Amino acid sequence: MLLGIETAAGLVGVALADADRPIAGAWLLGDRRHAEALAPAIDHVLSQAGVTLGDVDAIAVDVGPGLFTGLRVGVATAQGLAEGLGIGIVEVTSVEVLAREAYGCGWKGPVAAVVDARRGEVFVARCAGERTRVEPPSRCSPSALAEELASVPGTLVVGTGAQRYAAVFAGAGLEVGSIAEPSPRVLVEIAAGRLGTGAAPVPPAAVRPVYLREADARINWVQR
Amino acid sequence: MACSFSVRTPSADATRELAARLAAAARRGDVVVLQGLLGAGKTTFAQGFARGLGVEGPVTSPTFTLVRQYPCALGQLLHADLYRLDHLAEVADLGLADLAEDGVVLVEWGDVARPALGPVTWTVSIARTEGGDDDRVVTVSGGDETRCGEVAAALDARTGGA
Repeated sequence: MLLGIETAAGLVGVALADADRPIAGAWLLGDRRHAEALAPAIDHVLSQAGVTLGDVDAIAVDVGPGLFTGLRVGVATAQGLAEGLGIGIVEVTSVEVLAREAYGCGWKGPVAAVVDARRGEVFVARCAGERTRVEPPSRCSPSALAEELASVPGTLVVGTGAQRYAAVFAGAGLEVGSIAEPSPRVLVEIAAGRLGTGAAPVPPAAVRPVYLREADARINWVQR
Repeated sequence: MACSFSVRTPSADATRELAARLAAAARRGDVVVLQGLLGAGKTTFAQGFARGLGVEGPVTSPTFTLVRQYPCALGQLLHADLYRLDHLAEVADLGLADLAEDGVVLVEWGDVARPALGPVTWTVSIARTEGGDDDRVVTVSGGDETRCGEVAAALDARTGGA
């Protein structure tokens, strides 16, 4: 059994996959309720599926980019459970989940997965086509992104950032999809697919959220 | 084009009062960085700032809790202190850049962690003077020129410019 945890944006989502397909899930669009909603949601999904934590072989978690209020809850919960159960973690990015859902819906062209980073910024990753790798995500302003994407005709823009700045993207002639939050069901599909092709889960302590805020440095204290 | 204003405050109460006036010009989504050596009066400033936003009850240093949260007129005031942190990733984990949209964020020692904070609205620097134990110079600087006028008015500052 593969347990998936999705908290990278506004959604608190849990899904369970058996071998290669999702079999159960629950989600709550819980504004700032990640910490209180996640553990009961995991409990609920497991019990509805008739399994226990002991049946879980690996945990999939969305490592972002996204909002830290949720990400830290999801990543910490995944790490804690995996450590306790002695199992590994499959890291999936929010932008992979969004792009994969767009292609799962039948889209054939390029996709830009755009996650709201708040305060006038978005995280974005592009994908040229269904069988192409999702490019590494970056952080930028919606208007600069819209201008850049307008040069690639036929790009579908999806994600919480696409929804929030729909007018900006539509104004640049881009197609704005209805997919907003990364889906826990798609998250476990991606993770199950990877495990199925022989990818190994990583140890819990090795899991890191995707910051994209130049956070890879020690603080240069000169005054303290 | 940035602007910068310096105001002398001769007492802790005057520092609080100045902070309350700056708070009155704050908007939802603002991130304010608070600079100053130990004992400069950062928490004193924070107390006045919180009062200016309508926070009731005591405002204490968040040095050991990292972040304190108060309901206020603009949503919530998040009062953070980065003094005990050593890595920018720890700052990013606080989610301050995300949470600013829910109100106003005031970050003591925030200057060292700008890359993890996102856009900073104002930087407030507090420095001791030779004028006495509680005498301070408070400097408020910001990069959004469209708001320089209202900050100047709020602080009743005569100095200004780039």
